Amino acid sequence: MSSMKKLISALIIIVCCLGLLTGCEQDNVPKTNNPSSTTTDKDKQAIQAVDKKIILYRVPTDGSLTLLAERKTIKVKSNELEWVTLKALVETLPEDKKMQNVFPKGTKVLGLSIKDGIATVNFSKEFIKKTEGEYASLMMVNAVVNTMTEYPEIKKVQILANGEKIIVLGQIDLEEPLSRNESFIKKN
Amino acid sequence: MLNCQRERGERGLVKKIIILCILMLAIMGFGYASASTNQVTDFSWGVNKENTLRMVFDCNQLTGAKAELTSSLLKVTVNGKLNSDIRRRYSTNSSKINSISLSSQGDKTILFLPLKQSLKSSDYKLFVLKKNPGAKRPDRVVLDIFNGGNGATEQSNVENTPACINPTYLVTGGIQGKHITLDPGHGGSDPGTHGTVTGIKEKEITLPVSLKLKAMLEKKGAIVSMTRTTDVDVWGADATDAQELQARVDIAEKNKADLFISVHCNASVNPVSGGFSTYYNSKTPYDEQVAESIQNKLLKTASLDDLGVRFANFYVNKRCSMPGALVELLFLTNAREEKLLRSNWFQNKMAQAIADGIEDFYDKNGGGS
Repeated sequence: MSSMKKLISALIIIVCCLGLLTGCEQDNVPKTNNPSSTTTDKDKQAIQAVDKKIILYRVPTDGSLTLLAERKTIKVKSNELEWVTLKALVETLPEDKKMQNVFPKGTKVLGLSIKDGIATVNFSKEFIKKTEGEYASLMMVNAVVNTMTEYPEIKKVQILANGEKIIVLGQIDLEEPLSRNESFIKKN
Repeated sequence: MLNCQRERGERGLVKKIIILCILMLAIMGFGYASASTNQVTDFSWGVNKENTLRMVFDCNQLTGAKAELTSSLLKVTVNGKLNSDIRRRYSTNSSKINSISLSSQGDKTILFLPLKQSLKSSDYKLFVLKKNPGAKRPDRVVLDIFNGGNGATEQSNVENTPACINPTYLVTGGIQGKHITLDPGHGGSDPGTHGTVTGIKEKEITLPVSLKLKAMLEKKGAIVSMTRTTDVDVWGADATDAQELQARVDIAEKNKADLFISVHCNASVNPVSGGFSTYYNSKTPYDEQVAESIQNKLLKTASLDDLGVRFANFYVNKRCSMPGALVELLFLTNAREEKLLRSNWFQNKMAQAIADGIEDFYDKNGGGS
């Protein structure tokens, strides 16, 4: 009797584990079990913060289709550089009056993981709030992708909201990871 | 007695659970196998009317490929296992390459093209076409080698090559007879954006402009289809955004369109923002040209801001197999532009500009009379 129960529970556990494993391989949802490529607010590591220069691609206030580079020097731990950069882009306002933050009010960065050249960015649900017209969504998506691909280890960016894939935002196709879009950056 | 029954019942339960487990494992196994194995299911090649040598790998799912060019060889590696019944060697009369050979290396397929003359990176293009259920085409990896002028020898190749690929769209021969699908943005339950002064809806501008454009294109000899001709949702009122946009793509595919043009109006929180912008997704070699030709003509309608021609991942442009563009006609949130967008004469002017831009595109590509 009890051996049967053990057998049942063992089988159930095995199947569940296998299910989880295949699940891991098939989706790209950020996992927090890899500290070298994943950082969260709670990460407390004994790495010293150093001065780093970062570039945030901001949306211009004049309605033009060229992102403006905001250059800053911030104190950051090297393993949190991408995370802090993304947080700054989404959750802070630019200093220059020629630039604006067009992320829907309340949008937060919930997660970031980098694997095989793809940065998976997880925003809070506010991100998919309908914006007035195409301009804001288009510029916002390009700002995220171009800011993140400033880092050489990031080639493409997959954007998620609340941990889920967004197929369409306005008219934009977000199903697959997006590459850097140079056509929205001023050529010097 | 009672005990005995219970035991039998539990044995039955164990059996059921074991069977369930095996089934689940089997399903997971299959699911995993089909999701992970890329396959090249077919290979075909030919020379199209533009004298482009095109090679197509049909694949069971979207996959990647890379090209490596040396002075004597163009080598393309497709991430997919080569199906064993595909022929491995072909001869060709091309002025650029000696032969076409395929080989299988593990789960990758290698295409070897020994060169007759050295190629520049602009002489070829490697790209991926997504599956197109409407046209019954699978996901594909495509290599185009542009041959330029000398068409005579290549032309004979077309007739001799049964595996010749008919391009899914045509860009040569002028606008006459071209199938063009127009997509008036939004509609039905989706009003789009709205004017700040009068509250007019985006869908109330995109439809009349598109209908005017249809008449003008037909006058130039094009065959025009529309994703909608009235104020309706194309898929239906309860559609997801993706379903609604896919329904528009499907109409273009069903009509075997040579060109797909989506018409929208822009909006911004900044009332000063204004101007024309045109967007493309370079899934074919022609999208950028289409967008540029249209934008150039739009800028001649009046003294309005030029926001430029930009690459964008707009769903309809990305997922259509034929060249196309998405036009953002001015800003409904800009009082002056709202007035222009509402006026019949300016709607005519914009439609005429788009029609002229399209004609211009075809003229530039070995065009009309």
